Amino acid sequence: MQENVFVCEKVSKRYGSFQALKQVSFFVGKGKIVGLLGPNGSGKSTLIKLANGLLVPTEGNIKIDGEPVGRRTKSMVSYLPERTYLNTWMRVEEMVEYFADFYEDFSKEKAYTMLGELHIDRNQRLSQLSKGNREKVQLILVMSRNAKLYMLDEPIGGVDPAARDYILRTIIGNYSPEATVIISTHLISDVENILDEVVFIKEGQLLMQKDVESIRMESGKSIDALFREVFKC
Amino acid sequence: MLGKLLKHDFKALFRNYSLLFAVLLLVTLLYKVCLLLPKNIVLNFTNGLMGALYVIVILGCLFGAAAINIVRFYKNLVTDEGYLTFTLPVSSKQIVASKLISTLVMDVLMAVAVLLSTLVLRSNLTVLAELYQSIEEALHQIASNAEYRPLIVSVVGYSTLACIYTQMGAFTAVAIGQTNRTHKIAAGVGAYALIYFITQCVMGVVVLLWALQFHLYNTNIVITNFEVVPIEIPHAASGLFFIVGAVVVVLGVACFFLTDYLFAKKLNLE
Repeated sequence: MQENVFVCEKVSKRYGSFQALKQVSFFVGKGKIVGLLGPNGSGKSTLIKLANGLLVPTEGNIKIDGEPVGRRTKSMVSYLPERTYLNTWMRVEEMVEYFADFYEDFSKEKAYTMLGELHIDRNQRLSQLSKGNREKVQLILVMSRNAKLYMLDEPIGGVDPAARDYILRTIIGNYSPEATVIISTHLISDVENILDEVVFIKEGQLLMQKDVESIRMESGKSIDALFREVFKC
Repeated sequence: MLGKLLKHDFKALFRNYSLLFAVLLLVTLLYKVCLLLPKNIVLNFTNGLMGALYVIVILGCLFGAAAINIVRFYKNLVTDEGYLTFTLPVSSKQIVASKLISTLVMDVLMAVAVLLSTLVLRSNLTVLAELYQSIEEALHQIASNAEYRPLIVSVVGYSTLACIYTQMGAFTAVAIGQTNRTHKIAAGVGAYALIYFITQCVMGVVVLLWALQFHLYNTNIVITNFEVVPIEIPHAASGLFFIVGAVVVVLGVACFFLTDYLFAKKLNLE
């Protein structure tokens, strides 16, 4: 039987009168790369934040490797938010030390190798880096962990196409085959070749969870084409 | 993990405080040099300006330290940096404890720096020399008079606890404010005003009860013994400070657990 690393059971999230998620249930097995797909405002980021303990569900629960969201799950999940969360007054090297201090699964060697490949000076302050380079540093830090689950929220949202290729190569090249990756994005064509499964979310509700190969076989369409059809305005 | 949190919190706070320490050192040394130079009309005017600047810098350091503590707590936990802080494999109790310990230690360092600065200027400034002389005389009197000792211990103890509680109350206000969707800062300020109001009410009731009990006790002595018993003010006052100190501890602990609860169960990093 396949182990589920990520289990979401009837999760709802309400902000005042606005219902961001409605009874969302799905699970993700070990070793999969899953695309969490939906238009802007569909609830993707809310779901990822709930899984990382940055928000608390109004109803339902989320389990990671059998554990409810908490201190233990935070040591298993490597999370890339959609915004820059790094302390900009720190130098790149200090940020690497920060991650190494708190995450036992963090590899400094891996981080410095990737920083070198991108010609990012480890002595530079993050405030001196461009927005794109700051995002790359953040991705490098996240992908330098040997985590059980990677949750990447819009990892290619704010970067140029060339950088997108590097980021996707970094994701593919740096996660262990045992690990699971959940990528939230609305830039489907860029990521569809690396996905095993997709989860479609619309207006806070789960529309579909399916194997990418099954979608291609059954509908004869690419994920991007199917997405455009399902989320047609 | 608390040790690691403390290490990074001290590093960040020291960076913020270093500017205050540097300004304090610079102004103290400049003032000292001005005071050592031979007096003339121009220098008397300069010394007047330096004196005013020195007072502003001292006040700036004390208020600046308080502002740094709250702004850093808010920025590190409730803005984008909170995405990193709250995804670290640590408990929210550890996060709050680390922030509290590090800010209190920095506050003590700032107080020591201000004290050292006044000691440097003591021999050249009559006001400071007189102030220190009064303090020394008071301490000498306390040392020779045993009945004042509990009062001093209780006043110092209460003042320390009140400082810790003030800091914790501000953190709790930030934690309450972050639960608001749209106006986190305004909600935090409102929460602080509410915490302050509740504290004053609780203290008011405690002091009133103490005064009533104290009055009844003395009245009772007068009635039963048919003689006037002198009121032992130092003893009674130290009792009051011990009681309000205990109340501050209870309120501070309540604030700590409320802050932990809000970050653990009601975190709202939309």
